[in-house]
Amino acid sequence: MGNNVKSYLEMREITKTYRTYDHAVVVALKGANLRVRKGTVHAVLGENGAGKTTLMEILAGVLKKDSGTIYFKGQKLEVENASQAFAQGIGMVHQRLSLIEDFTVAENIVLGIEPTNRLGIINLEQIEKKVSKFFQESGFALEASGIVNTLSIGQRQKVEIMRALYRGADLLILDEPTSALTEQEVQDLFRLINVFKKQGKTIIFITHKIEEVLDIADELTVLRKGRTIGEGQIKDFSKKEIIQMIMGEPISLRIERIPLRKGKILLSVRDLSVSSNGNLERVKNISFDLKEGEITAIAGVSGNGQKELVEAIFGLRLPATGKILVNSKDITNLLPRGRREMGISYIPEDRMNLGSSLKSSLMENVIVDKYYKPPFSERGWRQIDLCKKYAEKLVSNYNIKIPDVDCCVGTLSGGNIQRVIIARELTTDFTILIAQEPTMGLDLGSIKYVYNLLLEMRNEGKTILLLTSDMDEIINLSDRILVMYRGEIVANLDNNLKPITKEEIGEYMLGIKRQNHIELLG
Amino acid sequence: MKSKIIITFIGVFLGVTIFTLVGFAGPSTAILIPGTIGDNPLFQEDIKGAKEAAEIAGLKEPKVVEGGDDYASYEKKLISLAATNQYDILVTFTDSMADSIVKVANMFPEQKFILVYGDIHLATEEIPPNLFSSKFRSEDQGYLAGYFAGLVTKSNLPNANEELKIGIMMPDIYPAWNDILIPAYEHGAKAVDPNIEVIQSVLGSWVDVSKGAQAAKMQFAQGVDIILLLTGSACMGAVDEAKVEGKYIIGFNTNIIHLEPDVILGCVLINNREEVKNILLRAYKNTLPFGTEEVVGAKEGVVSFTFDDPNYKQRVPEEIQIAMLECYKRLQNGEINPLGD
Amino acid sequence: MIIPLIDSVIYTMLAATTPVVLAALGVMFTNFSGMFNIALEGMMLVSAFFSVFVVDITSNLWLGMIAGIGAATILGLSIFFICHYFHAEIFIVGMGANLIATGLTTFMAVQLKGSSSLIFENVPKLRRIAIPIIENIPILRGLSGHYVIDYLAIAISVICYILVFYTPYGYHLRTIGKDEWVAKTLGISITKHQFISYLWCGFLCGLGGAVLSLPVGVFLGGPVGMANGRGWLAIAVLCLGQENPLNILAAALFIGATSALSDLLQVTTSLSPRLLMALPFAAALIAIVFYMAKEHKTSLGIKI
Repeated sequence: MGNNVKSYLEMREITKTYRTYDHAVVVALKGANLRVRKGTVHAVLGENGAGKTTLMEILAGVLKKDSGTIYFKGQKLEVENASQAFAQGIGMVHQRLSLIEDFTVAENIVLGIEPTNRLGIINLEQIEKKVSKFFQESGFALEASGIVNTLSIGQRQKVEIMRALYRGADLLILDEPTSALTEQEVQDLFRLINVFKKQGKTIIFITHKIEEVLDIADELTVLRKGRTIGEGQIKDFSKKEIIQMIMGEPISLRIERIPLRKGKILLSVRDLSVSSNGNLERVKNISFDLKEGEITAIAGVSGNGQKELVEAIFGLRLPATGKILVNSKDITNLLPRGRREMGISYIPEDRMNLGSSLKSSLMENVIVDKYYKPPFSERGWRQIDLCKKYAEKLVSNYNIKIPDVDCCVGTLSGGNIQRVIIARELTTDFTILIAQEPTMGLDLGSIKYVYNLLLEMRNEGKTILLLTSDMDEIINLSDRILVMYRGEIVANLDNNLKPITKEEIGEYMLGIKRQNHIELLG
Repeated sequence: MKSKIIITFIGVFLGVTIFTLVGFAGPSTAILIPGTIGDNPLFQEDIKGAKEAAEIAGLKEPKVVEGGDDYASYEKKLISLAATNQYDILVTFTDSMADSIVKVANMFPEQKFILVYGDIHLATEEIPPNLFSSKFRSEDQGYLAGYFAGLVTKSNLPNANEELKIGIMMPDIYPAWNDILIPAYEHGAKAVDPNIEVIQSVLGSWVDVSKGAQAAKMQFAQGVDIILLLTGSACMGAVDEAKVEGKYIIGFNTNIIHLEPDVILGCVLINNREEVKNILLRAYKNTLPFGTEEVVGAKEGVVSFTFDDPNYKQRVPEEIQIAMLECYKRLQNGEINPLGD
Repeated sequence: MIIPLIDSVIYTMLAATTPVVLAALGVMFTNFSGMFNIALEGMMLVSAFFSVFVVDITSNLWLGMIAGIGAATILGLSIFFICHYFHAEIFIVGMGANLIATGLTTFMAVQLKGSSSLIFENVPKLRRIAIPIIENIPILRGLSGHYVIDYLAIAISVICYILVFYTPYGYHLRTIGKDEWVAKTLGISITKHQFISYLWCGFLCGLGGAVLSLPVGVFLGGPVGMANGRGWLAIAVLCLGQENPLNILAAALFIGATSALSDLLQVTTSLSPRLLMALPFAAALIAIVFYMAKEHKTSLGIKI
């Protein structure tokens, strides 16, 4: 073929291997191909660990490829770092947002290409003016002098998109842009993408949510295990076919949930108020009960107090007023370990910092909540062999892909880390499970697996408090839905009487509707 | 990885130990220096004295073991020297070794020990029969320095001020200095004029030169015009400061006038080289009375002053030189009790 | 009587501040770049040795200063290269560098002059520079009569402030300090900045070491050495001053003030000298504890 390239962007036979801390070699890409036409929205699909992000980071200059060639705008593209990629017109918005939280929006936008005066000194006011002007021209309303850590996730993401455009990106790569966004923010983002498309920009969109692909993309490329499996126009594929390409086998997210008879109350929250760090009251006087054999979902636009509520229940945050009772015993003043011993288990949203210790081995991670109890410790001595066997058992039960239980968790992919946390939290003597975004960032197979596990636990008579931003997950899984708006519960919906729709929940979430006191009692 | 490091360490440690032990064959006198030799002219003089003694007696050169900076290891080194049974006489120095040498002397009754310029009474009332101890009268040194400082501060030397204040600066705190040297310094000065006040600074470091300069600055601001610098190179900072401020310095133990002749007016000396040579020669001739203690000072000529230094002769007014000689003679004759009555 | 004392307290405070603030600014750069250098003590010591040694040979103070800076930079760069190319643990290499600095200077001093403590006679010494009008104003007088490096240290603090907060270089450095990932996604070279931060650290610690030995023409080696814990004090100062060079200067002045106060109280009161000697260190410790309690900082912003 030579240089006779018709596509706007063509990546050919890209390979990439990683070395982990323990010098194990992980092959991320084994000859992936990607062809993108100008002015299209191109979806890149694949399971966790399929190599989507790696392929895009190579394009954006963040990673170096081992072999393969890239043609961009008819030229062979060789980039050493992200700066050079930006200079070529390639901008990437990473899944892990890359903004400095203490800097202002304007400082973040110009970071790396700061304009200076003749003496090499930066004039902040001038930069803010310049960025404000740029925002206005792009029809984007945001204070250029605002500090990034006061912004919501959705706003931060827009700042990153704006940065890519400010640096002159014609090709915009979005890596799982919707995973942390609310429904409303996702719609906003899609509108923005359509605007860019009209302006003639090209967008590469990484995701594993098929609905989104069908909504927004024109073309797609599917990666599986580091190879390109399929490519083409969206309209040529059915949803089922796409799922088959991603998974290699047909899979359905439908699950059977038979209503159970309600059992006794396991956890009660009474008149709970919680303040955030800035002394802002985030949870206002909330009361509810969790009963045996029930999955209760808490829905709400993020930032309406759900996070603070859950942290207060698990003991990561002290409530200002109110009580938390487990089996009628007051646990309000117990530390997390005490609460765990009362039968609470917790899958946190932040799996990298709160959920696991990346520098510790898998074995240490799975026994960290119970290492001090028999049989893991006997008479003050840790039983290493037993711990190891226990960890190996979990690895095989939960299908965690790790060469050895002594490997550190930081070397695993996000989905595998989530499995480690789930394995730890479910393999203990609990009656109450708090699951925060249990399937975030997981691929379809893993999601299905987690759903089944949660249902199994519920059927055994445990109670599950589910916090998720995925509306389908709420509707599919939960028996009861509590909707939070501005720190209060505004709706208590029984999903077993009649199936609740997304729109119904959405009205409560956005504060359009609100149940009266009698309805709230359920 | 860790085990490799540990094994390497153990290997090196054993190797060094064996090497040192094997290296000890031969001479019959061993000297343990409680500290480092390089930065301590006093120890350098001691070693020279010991070598001269051996040469005169026609013996092998004495073995010198440097204790280093690990205070805790000195006693162990002394024990291992005694345990080798290769040396007839073990010599060590200073008050800090008094406890250890008494303890080790009792452990090895066959071995002979000598402690030079250390107060054996810090450790025991009964001196072991295999131990000889020689102590310097540091009160003689203090008195001489104090008398000189008093004369200078009262004098009409260009940089001497009206105020009757003199200073003393030391790197650290030692009981022997606090109980003997400083009181003697004060007595010497007060013998010149009872109104003279002594101001002292402790640096907390042996080597921090800027600290010495800063402390001297404070003393000068207080009205001090001459400072006695006890051992420790940190005090050298004071010399530079005195030069800038136009003040005076007295040196201690060794003659350092040549470093800054305009600033360092005089030094109290101890002739430890002769003393060490003398003691060892007596030991080789079997005339050294083991089991006893000797106290030497101005009377024996071991403590003296830079009377003969050409800079001293040239820069210090003659009446002060005469008064100093007078004072030294009276100290030698026992007419003065340096610690007062 | 009081005014000359105040003069000397101010003078001593500034003099005691210089080496500490220089080393603290040096370690600030390495902290930003994510390769926290703890070998300040060693870098100051090699600079103290080579600067006075070169002055002894060439009789030129500027050459001496350059030699000191060069020696400290070479030591710093060796740390950088060992850590960068052999992936060694920065703290262990830093400790090693401190030990090597002590051993090397002592060894060379003994080889060249026969003693670990060198008192050079007849070498030119750094001169004090009086500021014309200020030197005659009581109390302000303490600001005059310092060495050129003392004045430089204040100027450098201000320059560093501008550099860190108002230049692209400073933005890039702070970006790396806050989040290396962000730097990577924006094409800011982390390795390059780590290298430059070690150049800075070498330059600043080199000046800090030269100011110890050049004014007196003396080098003192040995396990403590004439740096005498200033490198460690500098890390404490960094903890207090965090990432702002002017705060670092203020924190160093605070430590310098306590040191001056400890000297002053020794000559004016009968308080135990042993207690007073611990004053600067105790003050640093207490200040850090209070600071941490106030800011709820766990690791002082220093990345380990």
